[in-house]
Amino acid sequence: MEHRFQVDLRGIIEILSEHLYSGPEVFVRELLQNGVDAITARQQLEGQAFQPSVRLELSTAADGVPVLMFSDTGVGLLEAEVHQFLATIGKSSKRLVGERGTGSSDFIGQFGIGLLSCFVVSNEIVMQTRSARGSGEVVEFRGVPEGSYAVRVVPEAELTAPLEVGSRVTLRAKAGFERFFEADELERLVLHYGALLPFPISLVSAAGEVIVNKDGAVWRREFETPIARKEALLEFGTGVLGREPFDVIDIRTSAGGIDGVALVLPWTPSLAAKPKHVAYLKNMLLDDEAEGIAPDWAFFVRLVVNTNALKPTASREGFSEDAALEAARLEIGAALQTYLGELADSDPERFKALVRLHDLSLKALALENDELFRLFAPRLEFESSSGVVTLPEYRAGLNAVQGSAVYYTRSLDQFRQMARVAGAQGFNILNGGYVYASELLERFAQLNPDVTVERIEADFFAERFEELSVAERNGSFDFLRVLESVLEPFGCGVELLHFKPRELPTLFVTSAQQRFVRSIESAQEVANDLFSGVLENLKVSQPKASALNGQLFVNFSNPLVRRLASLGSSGAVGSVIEVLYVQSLLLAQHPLSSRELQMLTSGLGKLIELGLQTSEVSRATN
Amino acid sequence: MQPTDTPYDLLEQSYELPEGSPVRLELLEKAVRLADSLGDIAAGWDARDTLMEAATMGGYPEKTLVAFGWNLAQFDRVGEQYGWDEDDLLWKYKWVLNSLWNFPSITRTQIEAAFADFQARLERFGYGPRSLYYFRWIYESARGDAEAAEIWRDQWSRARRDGISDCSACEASFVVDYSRDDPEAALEAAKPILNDRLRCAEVPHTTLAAILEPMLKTEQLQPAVSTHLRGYKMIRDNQEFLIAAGQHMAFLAYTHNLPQALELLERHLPWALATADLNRRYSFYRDALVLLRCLRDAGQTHVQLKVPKDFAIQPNLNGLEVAALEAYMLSEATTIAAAFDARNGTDKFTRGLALDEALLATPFVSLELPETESAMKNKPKRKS
Repeated sequence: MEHRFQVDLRGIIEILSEHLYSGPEVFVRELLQNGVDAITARQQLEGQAFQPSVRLELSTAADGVPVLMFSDTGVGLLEAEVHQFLATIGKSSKRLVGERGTGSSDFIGQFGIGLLSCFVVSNEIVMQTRSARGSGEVVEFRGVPEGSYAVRVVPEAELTAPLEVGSRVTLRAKAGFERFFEADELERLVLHYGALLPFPISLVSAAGEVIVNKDGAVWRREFETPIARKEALLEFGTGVLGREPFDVIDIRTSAGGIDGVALVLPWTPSLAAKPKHVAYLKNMLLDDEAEGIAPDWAFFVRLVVNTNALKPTASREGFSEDAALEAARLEIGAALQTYLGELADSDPERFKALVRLHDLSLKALALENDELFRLFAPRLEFESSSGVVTLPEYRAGLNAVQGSAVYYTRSLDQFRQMARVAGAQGFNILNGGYVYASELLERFAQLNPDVTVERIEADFFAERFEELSVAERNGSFDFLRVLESVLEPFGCGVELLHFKPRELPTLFVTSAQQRFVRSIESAQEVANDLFSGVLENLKVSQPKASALNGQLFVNFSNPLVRRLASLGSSGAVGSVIEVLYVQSLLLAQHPLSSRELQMLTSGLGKLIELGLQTSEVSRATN
Repeated sequence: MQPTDTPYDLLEQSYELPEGSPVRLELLEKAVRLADSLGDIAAGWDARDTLMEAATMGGYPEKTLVAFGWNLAQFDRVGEQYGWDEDDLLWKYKWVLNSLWNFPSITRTQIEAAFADFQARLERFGYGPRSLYYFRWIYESARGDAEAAEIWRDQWSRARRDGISDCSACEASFVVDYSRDDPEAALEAAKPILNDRLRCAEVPHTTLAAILEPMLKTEQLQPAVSTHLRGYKMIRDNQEFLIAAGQHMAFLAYTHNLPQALELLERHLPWALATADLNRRYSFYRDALVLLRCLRDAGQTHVQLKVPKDFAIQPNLNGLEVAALEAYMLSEATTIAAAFDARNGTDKFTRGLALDEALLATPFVSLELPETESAMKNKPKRKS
């Protein structure tokens, strides 16, 4: 024998309302949705021969409990439909017309628990309905959350209020949920979900009657002048963002049937946060934190849009990733790009302000789109060793030493380390260490075959350092031997050269490869046998693996170095070199191995000792 | 960075940067160095834990290995005392297991030892073997031992999902890769991903690229074009997706969109040269060889291509010589393949270099999509 599942209605409703939806207020959305669907169904049945409207009426029952009557002038339900649709979870009247031959995509609530969500705020749901299709009698549904309901035909004489074709739902506030029966709160919620609906929604309360959505979508309204329209859009944007938007861009797509606006954010958004948009589906709010409608690079706007054709996800918090969404995104992207292109051409000052606000967003966009790259690239700013510049300014300012090549460093640390040396050599280098900077420079090179763009490592300038004269070399022979013997255990090569700036005694240089090898070695200091072995094999496979960890350039133009060199191999020279070496490692932001740390300690110790001895000697002689 | 920044300040700052950005990785490396110089083991662990994510998701798996070696050892030393989460460790261990075999210099003995160590840790922390079977399956399949792969696949399919197993999207995406020799099966496996029922940080990005070849083999040309257009954008800006970039490039070559394919070669060749992951480089070169062969068949002897300054093949007055490029890439790919095959004890990589003549006979397919006509119309006009 076949059995039916026993379902605990109250439990199901609690689960659905707590987990599928955001909170108790969704009952307002479900009521509105039912109204919208019923009106759409009647329009398909009768054309425009009736006045579509939705009405909310607040009152107080004799026992003091707040009551909400929600009525629509939609198609109404027949008795059989009441059983079929109101009392069945997972189906709703939206399917009704869909099954009769019009596309089910015309109706929104495909997953709703519909009317039953009202049990969250009311212990009784009463619906009276007069169908446009049947004999015209009024059918009443009366349900309680324990899971039972009664349906009967109501004699006209028993109707407490007149009912034309349409439906009326009456709810009594559950203890603790009275606030959903207050006029202000209801008005807010109705506006939240239904501001764009194309028929009047009225709210009747002790304060009188108001049309909640009388203005409709601001971008659809007619205005006397373009300026008045712009002002209204900005004001609307201010309401959404809490601050006046930088600008408002009209959005209209054929894919997905989207209309609405893109609000250009007046602040710089975090790159890590996913942009959220306000999305309406067939004029009903779907989600005010929807993701993925705009292209990835468009984190400088928040969209407020309605779509008539995109498919919502099951949780109704966004849209399914399908070809239609992809095509709509392309169109939205194109509209934003057109706006940016026109702004750049027509109002360079304002465009500059936009760049300042949304630098990274525009850089990401430039990487995405070559045409916009050509448009933006000359206006984007980079850090150079001579201050912040645009690429044309940078290229115009290059001197004969550098020629026309663009040089940049991959990281901020390298830039800091090299900027001084570069400047002293007559070079201007760019910092590629900020987000997208390197990528933009690489792209610049690819799009401009005649321009040389080169990423440089710290040894770039070393090739330009000057050799010592024969006399100098002969005079510093002992010094060089001390240098080598101090640095050799650390896998550090050493060269004694002349370079600018003279104030710089030493420059430590490594390649990315050498830095990687260094990080392997410091991991090996603690790793277990297995991973120490793995890392060893990783290390030996490095293509340009050099026996050295790095190279220390010692500047013979530096007065301190000259004095040290004149001391040859005597006394404190070794200790000073040790400290200079560690100092140059630190300047290059290199981690110190335990041995280098030890050397720093012992080197400093010896210098302190020496310093004290000198003081004692001078005190003794005084 | 301010002089007073702590490692945690740098970590904090890194969260503000886009995922996969090299700048983020750079900042995290700095956090590691800073933590080490302070001798702060807890900060060193946290910084490396985040660094591994940035390195893996940004295309630097070798940096993950280095950081992991350190974190694993410190976990065994002081993990309990510091209250570190074994889940963090095991999760990263999976990335390591999925990465070790991509470096031919790492021996089979070492890989086996890592699997054994991972297994012991799963047991100790009370996790099931699903993730172990999964990565063994991936490894054996990559190695080219079909029989062993099949055994692990079977074991995996019977093991229960738990907190350490990969997400269903990732697992499904590997099933697509695994089935690539059987295009019908690959397409079937890709269905839930293409329908967008399964997604994660890397899915459908990689799947949309991997499925192009099966689509061409089953003559689904138009769906392949829209998959290419949708998928390429997702992977274009992150070096992690070098293999996928190659697959898109090969797709463009097979469908005789050679100028577009060359654009991809120009854009991604620097990634291939820079990556330490030789499997990725091999895969990209193999796909580049498809393009070069198509260029040769089309009678193109030279191409205008901007290559890095230190690249072995440099252009002459006519541009870059196709034959020279082809010879270079073939020799590089052959060398890498030999290293892999020697380590693996199979000939899978060398065999993989043979081009698929049937695919090369694919007809020309236009990249214009009917649905996006209006999008094209709206494209900003270039002002000159």
